[in-house]
Amino acid sequence: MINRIIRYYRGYLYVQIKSDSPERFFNLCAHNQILLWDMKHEGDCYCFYMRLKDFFILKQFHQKTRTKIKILKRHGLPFFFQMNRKRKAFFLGFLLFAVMIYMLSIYIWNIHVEGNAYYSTQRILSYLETQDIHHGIRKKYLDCAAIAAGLRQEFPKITWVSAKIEGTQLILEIKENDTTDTVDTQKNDNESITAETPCDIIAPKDGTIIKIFTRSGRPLVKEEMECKKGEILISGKIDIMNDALEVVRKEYVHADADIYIETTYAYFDEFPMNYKERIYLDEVKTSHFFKVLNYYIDLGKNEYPYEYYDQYRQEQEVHLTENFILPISYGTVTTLPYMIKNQKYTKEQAEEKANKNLFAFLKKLSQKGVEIQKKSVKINTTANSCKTTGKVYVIEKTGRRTPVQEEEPPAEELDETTDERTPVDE
Amino acid sequence: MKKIPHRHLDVMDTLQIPRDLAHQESIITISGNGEMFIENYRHILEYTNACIRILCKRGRLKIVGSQLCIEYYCNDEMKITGRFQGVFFE
Repeated sequence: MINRIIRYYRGYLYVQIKSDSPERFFNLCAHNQILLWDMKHEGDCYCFYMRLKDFFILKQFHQKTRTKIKILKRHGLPFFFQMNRKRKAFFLGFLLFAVMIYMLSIYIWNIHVEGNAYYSTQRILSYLETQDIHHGIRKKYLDCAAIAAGLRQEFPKITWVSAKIEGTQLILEIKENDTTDTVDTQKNDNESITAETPCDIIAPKDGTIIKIFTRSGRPLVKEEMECKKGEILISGKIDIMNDALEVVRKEYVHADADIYIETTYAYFDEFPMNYKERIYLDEVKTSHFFKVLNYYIDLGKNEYPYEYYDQYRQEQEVHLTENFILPISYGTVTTLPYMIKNQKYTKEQAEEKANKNLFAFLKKLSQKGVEIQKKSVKINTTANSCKTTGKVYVIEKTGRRTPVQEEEPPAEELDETTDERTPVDE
Repeated sequence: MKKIPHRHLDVMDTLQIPRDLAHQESIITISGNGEMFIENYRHILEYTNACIRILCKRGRLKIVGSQLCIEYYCNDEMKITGRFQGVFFE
């Protein structure tokens, strides 16, 4: 394969010879390091291939052996250039193409993020934008080690990052911390609470303790105890005692525990009995559009001879690469006309709707991990409205962290009689 | 071709020197009846579609067949393809 490429690059000929002593001609070629290949005997002449540069040496042989040499075919790059010497634009275009390919290859055209679940790809890309790392940046301005360190610092849940450049792609492989915090951090009172901040866990609402598993801190409640909203359940303040059970010092820890309490959710729902029903017509209109930057180009009619209609637009952005989005998009606009009719729920319909709303509420609670024990709900329908009131008894994992107030160590008092310092009792 | 004395050949056989070097023999490699490589020869004596005669350093070689074609030919080795019917040493 490589030989064929080299041969084509240097050029070769398909030659025909007629001679009284062709073997002498061949032997002279061989002795002068002229390679001949694909030799064939056709009638009274011989055909073979030879290199272009060797052809110029044949002159002395053909005179010696009285051989008539005829070139049948010419192959190779030298002949290609000679044939197309007037087509300068072609070669210029080819050269320009090669230069463009090279120029484009020194930039990053795609940033690929994988392994992320908690932090979205857009969030990571937005952070990279703030660090001046974006699509179209030159590869030499990228420092993969600094990118990895920056991501680990900016996103605490990321435990491992690998940043590498492959071709024109920047590939970020991310590993996030799988363990979930037992206490919802969104419920913290203070945003500055971190994993090392000493804090207590308090009850966010009234209830009965069902289960409690303490990992750090001092539990102040037990199972089957009642708790009030704001009451400290796990204390981050631990008293260190000596052998005489006297408090020597206090240590402050970041309280951590799984606490399940039984509590109630008040439920209330109301809706009017009279409502307006939408009756959709069979005529559905679809039109297409193009968008370039902020300019819309509609390809359909914009006239809608309806009084009431729903309209939704589906837009598809054009991607150059996975995350490199061009400011060009296309899509369809669908118009659904409808009529409005005044209706009234019957008692059965109203109860059915009230039950549906209640089940949607309970489903939402279940998705949050709440275990529903029982519900006590009453549906009351009147001429104008339908009300649903009641309570839902649940068991849920709860707890809210608050920073613990660290006490100052007691001041030492100077004893007047012995000139010794004694600690002041609180 | 100057003959190598017999005792020199015995010494070279004892030293296990390859025969193509010591005895200046040609090396002929045949694959089936369609492909042949020849090394260590002097030059071509005759080339036609039905017969190729080659002068080796110690004798002559005659290849008889049909559709004989020399794939490549240079000073060091050559390759012949076609349908061989016989290889004779003269």
